[in-house]
Amino acid sequence: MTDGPGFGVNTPRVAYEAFDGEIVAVNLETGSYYSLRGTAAESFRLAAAGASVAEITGVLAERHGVEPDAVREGFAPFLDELLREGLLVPRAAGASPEPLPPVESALSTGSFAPPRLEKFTDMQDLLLLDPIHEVDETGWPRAVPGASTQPE
Amino acid sequence: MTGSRAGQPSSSPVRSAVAGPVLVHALEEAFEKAAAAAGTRALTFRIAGRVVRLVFAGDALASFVRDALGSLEISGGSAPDLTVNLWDTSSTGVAPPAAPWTPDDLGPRGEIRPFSKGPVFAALSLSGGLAAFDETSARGFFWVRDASLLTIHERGAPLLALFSWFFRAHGVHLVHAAAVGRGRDALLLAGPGGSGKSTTALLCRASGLEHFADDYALVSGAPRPAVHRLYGTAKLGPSSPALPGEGDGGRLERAGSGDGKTLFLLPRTPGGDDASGFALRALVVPRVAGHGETSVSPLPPAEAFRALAPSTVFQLPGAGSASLASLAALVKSIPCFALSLGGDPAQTASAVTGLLPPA
Repeated sequence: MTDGPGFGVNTPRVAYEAFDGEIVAVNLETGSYYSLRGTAAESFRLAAAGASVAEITGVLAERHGVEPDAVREGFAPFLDELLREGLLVPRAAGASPEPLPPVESALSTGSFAPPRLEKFTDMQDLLLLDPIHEVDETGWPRAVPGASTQPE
Repeated sequence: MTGSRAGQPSSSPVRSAVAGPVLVHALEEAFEKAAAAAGTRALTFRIAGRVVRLVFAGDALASFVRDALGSLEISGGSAPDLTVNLWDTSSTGVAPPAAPWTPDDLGPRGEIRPFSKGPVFAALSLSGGLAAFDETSARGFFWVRDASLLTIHERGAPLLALFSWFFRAHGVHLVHAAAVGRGRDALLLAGPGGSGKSTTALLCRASGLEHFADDYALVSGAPRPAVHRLYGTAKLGPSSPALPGEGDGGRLERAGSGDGKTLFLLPRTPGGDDASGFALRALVVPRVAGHGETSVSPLPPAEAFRALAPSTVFQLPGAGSASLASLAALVKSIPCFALSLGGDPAQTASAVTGLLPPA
């Protein structure tokens, strides 16, 4: 994990909504959606605002009362997963970051629970509800007989 | 010509701005030819306070739409807020215009990327038909090769994308949810297929509550959270429980079948709906436990959002971050509950009724 110019949400393919204690992110292209709670929600909010790895680990270390290395160790695989799932993308060099979101009150727990991404794939079938695979000579799609399935 | 579904988004604002009016003009011309060939018939509905006028070329499509929206029909004297022209090729002999897109423009959910951002929206339906909507003129089009191609889903919920585009512009959102209620009060029942929302709604109906919607409803957040009726249909599969109410005068009329499912018409109070709708008192997320007592417990808004939002936006072409934000605001503004469906169906309706204000 290297520190770079930071990250950003992969819009418009990904949208997210914040609730008390949880962020729900939706990948509109793949049909997957995600729940992020606790340190996962904290990390995502910072990353979504364009924070760099150093900024994220620094903020979380201060809030939880631990050394930055302890945060970095737990955060690295989580960040990899966010990038792999296409929720975040590296921010282009020179892009202006957003102001970092306000840091919530210090927890000073002396520990940092590694952030976890909970993934839901039960909606992916809805994106496959499409019997249309071929286009006729006028450019209009043909319905493939028997290929139709229905939303529940 | 064979097209693949893969491909990166290829729309651009410039391309959309040029193609939109061209598509609308071409659809207008085609519809006029169909109308000249087969004659027209108009049906008018008041949905969430908006007058929707559907003009059919020929008779092939009208009966399906009337089955699904019938209870909201009004006399045709009011000026329409939305006019939709509908035709099919088989009964009119009129083909659609050349498609102004390429195979690589086709995305998930029937999306046609150059027309996914407006002001002209267009998407393909499950039966290979086209729905298009011009936000500027509040004019819509629906075409299909043959009415017999319409899937049971489209027959139960016709013009789904069109209604989604039109009402969204008026702050009213189409959601994948059932709705039940009493008087002017309503509850939304949300969750993916198989979660128990249809069963819950039918049990509530059998106990005397109104069954406002089974699969899709309209919701709005201002001036206060409200539910609005849309389709009066319920689509049930062979694994669905026996219909509550059958045999005691509450039998539902069958309107068709397909894909192993049967489409039923919900008896609803006739007459168009005004804009105020039914006061949305809570969002309920049923879960089939199958044993024990049926119980209700508070549900965090995020969990309610996860039950409502993904299954909604993944069915609606063009729905994205704005739709998710509206649904998030809605669930934050109302109480949300989990409904654990136990082994005794008789407990379901009383558990749900307890979430409504006293009659």
